[in-house]
Amino acid sequence: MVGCVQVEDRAVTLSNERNSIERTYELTKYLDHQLKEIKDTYLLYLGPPFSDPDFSPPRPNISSLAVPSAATRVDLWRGLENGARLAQNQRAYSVLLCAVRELARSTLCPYLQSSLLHFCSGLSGLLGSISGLMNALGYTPPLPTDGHAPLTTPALSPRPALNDFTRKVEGFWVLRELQSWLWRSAKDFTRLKKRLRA
Amino acid sequence: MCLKTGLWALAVAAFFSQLCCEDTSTHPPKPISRGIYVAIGSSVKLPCGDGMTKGTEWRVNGSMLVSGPVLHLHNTSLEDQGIYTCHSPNGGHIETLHLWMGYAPSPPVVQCWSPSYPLKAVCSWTQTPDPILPTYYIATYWYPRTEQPLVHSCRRESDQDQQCILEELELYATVPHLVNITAVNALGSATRILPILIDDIMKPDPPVNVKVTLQPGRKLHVQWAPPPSWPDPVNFTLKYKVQFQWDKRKTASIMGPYESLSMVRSGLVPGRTYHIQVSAMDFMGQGQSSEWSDPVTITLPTS
Repeated sequence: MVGCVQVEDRAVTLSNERNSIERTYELTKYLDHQLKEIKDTYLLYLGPPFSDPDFSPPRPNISSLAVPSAATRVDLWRGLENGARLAQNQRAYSVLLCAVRELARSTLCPYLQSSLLHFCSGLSGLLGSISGLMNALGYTPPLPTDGHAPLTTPALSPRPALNDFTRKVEGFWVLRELQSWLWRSAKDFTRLKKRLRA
Repeated sequence: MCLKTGLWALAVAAFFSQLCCEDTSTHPPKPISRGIYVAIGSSVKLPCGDGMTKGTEWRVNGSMLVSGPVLHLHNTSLEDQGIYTCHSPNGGHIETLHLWMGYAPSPPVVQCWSPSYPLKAVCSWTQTPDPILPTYYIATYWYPRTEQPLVHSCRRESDQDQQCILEELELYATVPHLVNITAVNALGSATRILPILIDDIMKPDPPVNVKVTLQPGRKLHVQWAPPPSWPDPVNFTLKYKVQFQWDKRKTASIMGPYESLSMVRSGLVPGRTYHIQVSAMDFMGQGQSSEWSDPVTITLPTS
């Protein structure tokens, strides 16, 4: 009798984990969809040359854009262990949440500011989902650094002295990093789903 | 005896010296032969030898063209291509000139896509106008890392091929890969550098093995398989759309997207002929949809 209950418990746990990953995956897709709309509006707001279709400024190598890169090679990506995969996502979205909050704060257009803030709540939800998943799978989430202490070490420091063009370039890059991460996360969670199913 | 031998030896030496050491004043020099590449539309002056000898004439394909030591060709066209020969006043052949007409390369128009994401991407290019002259291409790409960026050769079968394959790819990169295609021919060279984000240029090949079967109740069961060129449909899921066309393909409806590899359509019209095609796309909607697969035709029975 006890053995049966243990097996059932494990089955329920696995099912919960899979549901949790599925929800995280769906949230990623939702945020990707939202970002597409926000990005177009934001680039128009920045104006030319940012709104030009093939515009790609050099990425500034500054500490204010300290987002861990989503870029990876396929063999490295495949080999990532579940805990490491989730931790990378956790770290990235912590920094990105902070960066998007700052973007919202410095945006003068009210509609755009409202959209960005709404997006931030979605990102916050994603972070919570990832942390929950890490706990459920027995991994220790990384200690909150920038993401949950935006007043101390923001990814985009408010610097009034900063040149307006440079701030626009930073804003451009935050959205680009966000896009790359959402694409990557969707694949990360798909892989996690399949690994847990196996 | 000694004197006779000596005289005989001298005669033989003189004879042989006559054979091996020719007097150039009586034998003309060999004609010069060369090739020249000329840009269509340009003007060119072609001197015969030193360009100063009077009485020389230029012939093309054997017929007399112009008298004079210098041949002027203005606003040249493709028709000016040919073999020109220059002759001395006494008809002697001084020079042969092969004139090749064409264009210097222009920056190639390059298109890249990834039918085998995440392992490979393909870049292909065209030249407008066609240079006509033999043109070869140098194709390379690199990813600008902060550490030493490695320049990779974009793999091709031969130097004349206008398509190449990229294999060392950085996924989810915010900084684009840079593809450099340089066209080179005898009239010059031209380069195009194209930035590409691999995740943005996904374009699977069409799905394969499309099978349509009739089911009871005027239903069609459509099945397909992912394109074999897509290396990992498990981790890099595709979603599919199915197009039904009828009325000589004037009317169409598109169903989907589906993540599965089959679907069932009901509510179809008896006696109608349907043409069915399937296309694939990355499940997140990244990149482009594939082209439609070859149509499968089925006619529903009238009863």
